[in-house]
Amino acid sequence: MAIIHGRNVKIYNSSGTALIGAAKSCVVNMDADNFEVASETSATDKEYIPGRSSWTVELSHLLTTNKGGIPLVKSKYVISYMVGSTQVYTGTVLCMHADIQGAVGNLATGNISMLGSGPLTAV
Amino acid sequence: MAYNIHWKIVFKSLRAATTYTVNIYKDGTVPTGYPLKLKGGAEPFTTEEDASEDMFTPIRTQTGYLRIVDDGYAVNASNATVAWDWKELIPENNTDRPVTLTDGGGNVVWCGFMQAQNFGGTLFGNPQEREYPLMCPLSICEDTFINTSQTSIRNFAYLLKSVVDAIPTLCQPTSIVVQGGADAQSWLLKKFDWYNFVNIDASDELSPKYNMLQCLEDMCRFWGWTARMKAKTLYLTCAEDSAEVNALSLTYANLTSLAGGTDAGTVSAMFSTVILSGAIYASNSNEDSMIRGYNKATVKSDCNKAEDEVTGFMPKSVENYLIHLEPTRETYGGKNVDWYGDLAGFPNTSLGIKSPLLTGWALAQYGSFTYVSGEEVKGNAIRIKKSYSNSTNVYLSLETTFDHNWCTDFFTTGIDNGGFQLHGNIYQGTSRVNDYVEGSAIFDHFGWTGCGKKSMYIRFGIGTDRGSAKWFTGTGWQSTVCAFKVTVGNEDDILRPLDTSIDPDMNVSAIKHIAPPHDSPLEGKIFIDFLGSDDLLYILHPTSLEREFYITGFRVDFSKSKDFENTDGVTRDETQTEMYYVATSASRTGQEWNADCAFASENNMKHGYGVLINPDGTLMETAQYGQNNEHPEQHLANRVAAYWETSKRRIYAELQTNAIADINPRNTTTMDGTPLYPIAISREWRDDITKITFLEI
Repeated sequence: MAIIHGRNVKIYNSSGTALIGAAKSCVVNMDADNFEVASETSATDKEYIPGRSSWTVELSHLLTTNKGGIPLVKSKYVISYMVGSTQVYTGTVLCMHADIQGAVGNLATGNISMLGSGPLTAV
Repeated sequence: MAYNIHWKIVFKSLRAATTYTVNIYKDGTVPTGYPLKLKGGAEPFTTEEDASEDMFTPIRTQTGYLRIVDDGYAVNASNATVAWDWKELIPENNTDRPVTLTDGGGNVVWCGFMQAQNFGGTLFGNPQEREYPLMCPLSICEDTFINTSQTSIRNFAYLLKSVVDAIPTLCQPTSIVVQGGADAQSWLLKKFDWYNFVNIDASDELSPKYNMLQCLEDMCRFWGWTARMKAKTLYLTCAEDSAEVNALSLTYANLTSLAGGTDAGTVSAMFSTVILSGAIYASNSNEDSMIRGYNKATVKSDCNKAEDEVTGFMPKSVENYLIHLEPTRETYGGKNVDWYGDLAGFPNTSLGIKSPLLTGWALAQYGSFTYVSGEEVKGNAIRIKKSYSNSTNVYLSLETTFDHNWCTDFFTTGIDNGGFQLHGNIYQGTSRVNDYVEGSAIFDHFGWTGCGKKSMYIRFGIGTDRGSAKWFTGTGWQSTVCAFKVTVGNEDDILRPLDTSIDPDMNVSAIKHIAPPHDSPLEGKIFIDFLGSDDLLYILHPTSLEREFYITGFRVDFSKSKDFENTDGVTRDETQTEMYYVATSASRTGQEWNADCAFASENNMKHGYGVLINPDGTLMETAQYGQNNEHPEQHLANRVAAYWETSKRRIYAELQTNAIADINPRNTTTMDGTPLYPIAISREWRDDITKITFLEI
């Protein structure tokens, strides 16, 4: 897997047509449920089958491209992970948490938590 | 039904010794690609037995759970993955999805059914673990009710087979282990009335009373067993003894054989029915509790097993039983069956049922009176009206002096609070033999309607209330035997004597059809019907309209004949204290014997009474009605039926209506000192007919 730098994370509007911002760093968490099943072959080793998966994204140092501000929590966005200029993953996220900080003379920064909605698709 | 495996779950046992397979069946042809292999859950199969701490729990059933993981797919018979979801397993009824659990060797280690119930869950979301409740084969018996079309006589093996048959074949026990060895087999052959399990309504429509699980439970309770299933074996074990010691192991075929198949005609059963009809009430009373007999006793017998040849009859000692039945031989199905049957013509060999004429002992059985002939008895009070000042209890006393033809020994109880006295003038014939001051009464506000110019009189009745009282009309009372005369007050009283010349409401001149209260339940009331007279009104505060009358210490003596019927009116030695119920004639039609019965005593039906006399002049020892708390009709039927007892055949009677559920082998009844298994047969009660069917076991 190529290294995805924070600067390569781009946030689009929900239709994926307008770039809204980019991040300086990002964390992607992915989980899946599992079910233990009776093993036909093993008496002592547990056997599982996967269940449903979920994923979350945490971004920091968001740079907005829209100086007028964007809606944050409860909003749906399309997030893309880029390697260079090539998109490698994309998916729809819901903004669940936003922590925005600003100071005189500095760019506004913040931390945003996104909840993946639907698949995180490898492109 | 043709159950086939539609689904299976394969899993390794924890110890890796065996690969277990849960086979889930469904009725019908297996679809292409089936059986499907499903994914079992982490604990694909669990079961638990009823853990009641009561060691005598008659039924121990098992519950369980089957768990699968539904991920939307199953593996078909070709090892291909196909779409599938858990809803396909939901049963439509309790027998729709039989389940077996087999070990690696294909041996069934558990079988049962998926229980139909309300299933909830995510219909299309998967993967998910689903849980299906299981029930054991015995539990399925709860869904099946007994067959009401069977003949009335069956044995326990048949009942047990019916239970087994109630289980679908796939889970049916293939082996039945009964603790008790050879005894167990004889227990299973004991017969009972199938109609104990059947409700019969007024239109003779039959409906099942129990489901098969309840039947099994009752049977287990009766024999002291605990029923449980392990794999495909039904165990009937006794908690009291070491389990399975000397157990009887039966296959289904064995059980079928013991049950006698489905043809009732092949079941060994001999029973007799005694029908008592034409009720006789000894005192013309409508009170059931008064002595009662029957004009006719009909014995019907049947033999359903042709090969059951019976020989070597040993008559029960005649002194114990009542209607003498001579042995006869009949041929059924080419086999000889000797019946201890034919009622011999009276009076040569007939015996009677002795019903004691009112004795102290007998009377004492029927109520609150502690009656001993010739002694004063104090029983319930008679309260005519409320006393205004003195509430001394009123006692009713009865005395019978059998050695005189008139009443004697009235007694005096003095006067309370200025009341007046009642005089009992007892007459012999038309001659007054004595006056008796026999009570006192307090009066106040005595102003009954009807206190006109009439004499006051007293009449005597018996019954539970005044409205339904059987008044002693005196019909049949000999004038020389008894008479009543009652006056109130006496010459010395301030109150002048009343005109009491009118006799009691009794026909003292009649001499036939004596109907004395000779064995009536005198725990009832003696009713005294006072009608006021103008004299009485005059005496008792004539100006008041609101008066009450109260009698204390009232006592009545009477004498009576001890014969039930005294048709010729001849004065007799009245030392005879008992009467008998005898067969007066006998006839026979086929397997039906009829005995005409009547009361007899020393002075009545002498020819009948005579047969009760032993050669030495003593009375035969006849069983007395009243023993063992029997009703008269029970007694008669018991005696008649018991007479069929032989060395090879025993007829046991159990007269409880609800048989199996109420009886317990540990509580045997006793007839003539012989402990019996109380197997109930059938009984039918009507107003004047009693039908009791007995069965040999």
